[in-house]
Amino acid sequence: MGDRDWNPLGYKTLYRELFKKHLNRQEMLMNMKRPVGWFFAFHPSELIYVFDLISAFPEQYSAYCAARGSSVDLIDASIATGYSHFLCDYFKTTIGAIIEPEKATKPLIPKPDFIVGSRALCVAHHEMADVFARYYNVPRFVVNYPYWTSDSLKNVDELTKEAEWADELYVEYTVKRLQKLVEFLEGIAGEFDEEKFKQVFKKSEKTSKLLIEILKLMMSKPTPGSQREIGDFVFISFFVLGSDYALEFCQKAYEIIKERVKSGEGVSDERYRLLTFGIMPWHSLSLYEYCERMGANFPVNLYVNASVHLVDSKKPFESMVRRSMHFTNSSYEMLESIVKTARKADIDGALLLENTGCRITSMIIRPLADVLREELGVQSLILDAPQCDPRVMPMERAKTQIDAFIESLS
Amino acid sequence: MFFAGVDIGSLATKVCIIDEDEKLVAYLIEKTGARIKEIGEKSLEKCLKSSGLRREDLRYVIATGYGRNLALSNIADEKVTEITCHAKGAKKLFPDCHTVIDIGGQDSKAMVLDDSGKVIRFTMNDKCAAGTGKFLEVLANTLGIELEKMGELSLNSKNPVNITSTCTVFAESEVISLLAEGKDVIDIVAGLHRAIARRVGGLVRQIGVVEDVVMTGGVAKNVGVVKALEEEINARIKIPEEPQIVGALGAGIIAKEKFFQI
Repeated sequence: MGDRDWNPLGYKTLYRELFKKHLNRQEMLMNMKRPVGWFFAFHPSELIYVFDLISAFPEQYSAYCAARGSSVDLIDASIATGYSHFLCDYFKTTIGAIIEPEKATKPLIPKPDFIVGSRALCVAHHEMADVFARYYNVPRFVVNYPYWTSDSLKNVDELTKEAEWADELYVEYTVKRLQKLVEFLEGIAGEFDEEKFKQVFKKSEKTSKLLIEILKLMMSKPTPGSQREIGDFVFISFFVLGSDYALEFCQKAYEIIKERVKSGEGVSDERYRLLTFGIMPWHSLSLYEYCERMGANFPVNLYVNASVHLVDSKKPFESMVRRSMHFTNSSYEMLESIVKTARKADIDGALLLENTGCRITSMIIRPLADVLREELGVQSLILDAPQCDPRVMPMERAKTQIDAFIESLS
Repeated sequence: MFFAGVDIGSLATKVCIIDEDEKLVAYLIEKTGARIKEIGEKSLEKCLKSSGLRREDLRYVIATGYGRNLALSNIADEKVTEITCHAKGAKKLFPDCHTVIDIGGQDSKAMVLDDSGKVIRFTMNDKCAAGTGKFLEVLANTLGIELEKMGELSLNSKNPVNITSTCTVFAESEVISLLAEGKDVIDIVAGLHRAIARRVGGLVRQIGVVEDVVMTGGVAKNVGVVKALEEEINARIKIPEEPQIVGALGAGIIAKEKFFQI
């Protein structure tokens, strides 16, 4: 098993530009004394741009701290305060950054003027929003997205999240909550601008289409890009969808991957195609590169796929509802959409990341492995990979398991 | 024509030299210690010497175990994981083997093999030492008995105690409390074997027990653990004559196969 050449798409420069523009916007709005809101994954990021809000994302900030090596100290700080080791890694890291900011990676997460929680991905987002809001004594709003089951949703497309049928009652309820969110934001950030709303959603629609196209192209043979690059798409789809710079990023990223596919180049000399799922271990993203260098590429990352959805600018509120129709927010019957994707991508196996830092995404790992084995006859490697705590994931052990898994595919 | 497998584990380094008929020519078991790179080389040399062979007589060498990456730089032609090597070795010794349980110094693994001996499923213990050789070593020290005697001793137990802690350190405290309560050492040892069997049994059930079941690694020499594990998984377990060298033997066989592929 040799070390093969690794040939990523080169999105690193694009990400650098994106973050620079995002931070410039934040700074400009800070100077204008605009309100700071804390948001969680799957909240409607377009509203940040409609209301000119300064945004902060506890999950994204925690991932950043993990990538820069400060999350361990922050997790320990939260445990020392009395929070259990068994809580969400993102929560512990954020609490640590609040309590002991001197240990956190700069730029620090700004103090919130208000907090928006949602349960489109995780029920704990409610709780987190409550704890943070109480800590800072700021208002918080919750969008209680539905948990989808086969009684309320049928045949969802894994990437676009377009469904054959969705229960109107659920959709109407969520639309009403989103309209209430708009009212809540008006109370904090000023009048709602209908025209701006339309414009932001037009950008969001274009961006979402490009994201989906890129993810479809990732399923080409050989796999054109690395998950080290594609994984950060979650930042775009969760947090900056609707911005100019997200659209610009996706336009450039799409052109690059389109050319790569046209030329038939892969991220490495492909021997195996693996599906992957699980919150990415932000402290050890080299894990993906390690596999890819052995010729085990990842045409499908279900975690990234879950984050995208097709935005319809003519139906902005319905689009905001649709983003919650992903398999981690649905009953296990919805795994059939995964099987379709896996079949299309012609996978040889799967790398599934179980996570002591996230019970929600870990529960589905075993059923997912079973479904892949039963439906496609492929085996899965299940690794312990918490998103922010590298101590629970010794890399050498992980590498041994990956090596053995790849040997078993030979 | 000779081939070698070198298995550098956390506690012991094992070397097997085989001929082209896959017959075991010589083997060696040494303590690993801190100098991982040197121990691989020294052990190989020592094993060669014991069989009257020279380094040049070896056509291909495969390294396995935790030290396999380091061994690649000085003694081995290629590295292969211990999971694949244990499966290969067990299949050679027991052709009907379909499940391999390997309890080594710092980890325990279970593998299911297809009829050809290929690993189709495997699992490893999580990050703690419970369910490994280290667990028994620590507890043998606490009880003041020899590690090698634990197995035989436990077979005399009439009333094994229940060890509830899954962590080695907590289990040590629990054992001290049990001693303070006046529990019999023999019953405590039997309880420890049951605790390790419960933990490893959970791993084995994850991948499914398919007979014949073979146990490898140093802990397979402990008859008490083997008995408790048989009860736990409800299957008879076959033990190789020298269970500690099965990974190195498998590595040697893979070395031969790789050589003839080249």
